[in-house]
Amino acid sequence: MVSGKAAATLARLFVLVACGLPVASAWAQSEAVGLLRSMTGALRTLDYQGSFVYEHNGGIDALRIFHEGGKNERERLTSLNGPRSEVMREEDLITCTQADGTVAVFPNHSDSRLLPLVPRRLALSTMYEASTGGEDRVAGYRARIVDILPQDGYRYGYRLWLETGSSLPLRVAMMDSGRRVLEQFMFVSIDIHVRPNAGDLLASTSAGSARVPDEVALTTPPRWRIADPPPGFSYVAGYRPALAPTQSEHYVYGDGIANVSVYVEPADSHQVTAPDATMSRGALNVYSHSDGEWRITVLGDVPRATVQRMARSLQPAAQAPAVR
Amino acid sequence: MNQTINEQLSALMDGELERDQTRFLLKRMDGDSDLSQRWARYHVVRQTLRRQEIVFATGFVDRVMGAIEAEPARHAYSRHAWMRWGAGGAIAASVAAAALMLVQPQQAGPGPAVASKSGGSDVPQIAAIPSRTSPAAVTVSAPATSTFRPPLLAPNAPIETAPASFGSDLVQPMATDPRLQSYLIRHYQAMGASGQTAVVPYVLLAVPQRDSAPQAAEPTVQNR
Repeated sequence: MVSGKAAATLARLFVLVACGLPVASAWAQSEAVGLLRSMTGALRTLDYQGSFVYEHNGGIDALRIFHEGGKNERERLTSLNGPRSEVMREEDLITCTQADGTVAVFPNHSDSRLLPLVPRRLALSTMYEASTGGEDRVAGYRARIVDILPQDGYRYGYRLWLETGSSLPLRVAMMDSGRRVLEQFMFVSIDIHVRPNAGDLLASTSAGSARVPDEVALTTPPRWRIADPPPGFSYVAGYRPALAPTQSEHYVYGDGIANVSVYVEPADSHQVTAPDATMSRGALNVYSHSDGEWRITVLGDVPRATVQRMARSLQPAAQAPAVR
Repeated sequence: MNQTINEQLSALMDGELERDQTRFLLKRMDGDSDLSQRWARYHVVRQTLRRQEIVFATGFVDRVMGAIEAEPARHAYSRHAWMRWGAGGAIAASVAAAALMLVQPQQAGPGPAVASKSGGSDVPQIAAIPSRTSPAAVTVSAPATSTFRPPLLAPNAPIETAPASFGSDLVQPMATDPRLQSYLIRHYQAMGASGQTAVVPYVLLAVPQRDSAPQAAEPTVQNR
């Protein structure tokens, strides 16, 4: 038998717990978002150089990165094992040197960097839950753990280890909805606040055989739409090739964190090897489909089900009243 | 004198002690418990340096001696230097094999059995030393009560890595398909423009290419 006073106390405790849990959850989400924003600034402004391992598809690779922060941000990423290849990002150019010596140069008209980008709209996304975890030690630094967990199987989650002083990501793992790691990178050594030598920020090869496929934003409504995108995904932006008049278009769909690119091109410009094909590398999934007239390619760091669903529900925009 | 003995012990461990000296040393070890203990310590040190698991067992010196006594009669002395070296190595190997039976899983039951020949046994057998180092290779039967992890049994044998399959890690210089490269670059550019995320944008373009062959998509009832 519970006395009236005890019952009142229990009731107050219940109210406190019931109210406190969401508050704690909201606080954790807010703290995580704050850390991720700090990470954005750290990736852009800090000087750092280090070596990291990248685990994907059952294999492991070692790479080295040099980053000069500030106004004239520059980065160079080079492989340390296997055939030599590298990516160099300067103010307005991205140079990719492949293992066979092929060099491709692309205009750099965004602020995308070689290491993780930060979801600016994380706070608005309802498809993920962000929280802070404990502390760990990575590459000799203390790191704070941040989890971004997906709410369904159409997107992946992330665990980030952010250096406690600078919020620089020292380790990032991408997980599926079952929390199985799909790919991850981890610094094994890093010097933060150390500016790389000028020689370390020069591309190792000249751009003799450069190709520059550039895109410009669509100024007209998209010709195609995804009629049945996975929950949370919506149209973000559209592009078309800048150099020649063409019917090719490139759409980006996103859920606030994950992004999927949809390329629609006339089929006669490519050699079709399979009507439907999929490919994956780590967390990246690519789905390609051709109906003889159009070739559809959908790719992104999302599960295969997501790219398949998008590709299979793509249809001419004229069939629908509006683009979602 | 001590220094000489130590050098001989070291040479015996490495399988480099002359045959006559080996017999002399083993005979002396038989009656000198201090020397036997020192011989054991040498192996412990070696195992420690190699970061191999060590389980101390009692009575191992007796087992060492048992292994020596059970050693089968060797072939007649050969004038060939490599044969003489090989025979010395075989003796050292048998001693080392018995001593190194210290290294075994923790859950092992009674002390490991050592036999010079265990033909007809159902338990797995391992060759004590590679045949090229000794024509009289010793086989050691593993304890039947546990999963035996083969210790290092061949003194002075070169360390050979186990054949392992790394599959797609053995890559040839290969470029990413130009069309895929173009797709990826434009994808990352678009993501950057919209302030979105990727774990390691561009890294796929900087690592050796593997598993790039496309697969046929799963069949569906309705495509688009």
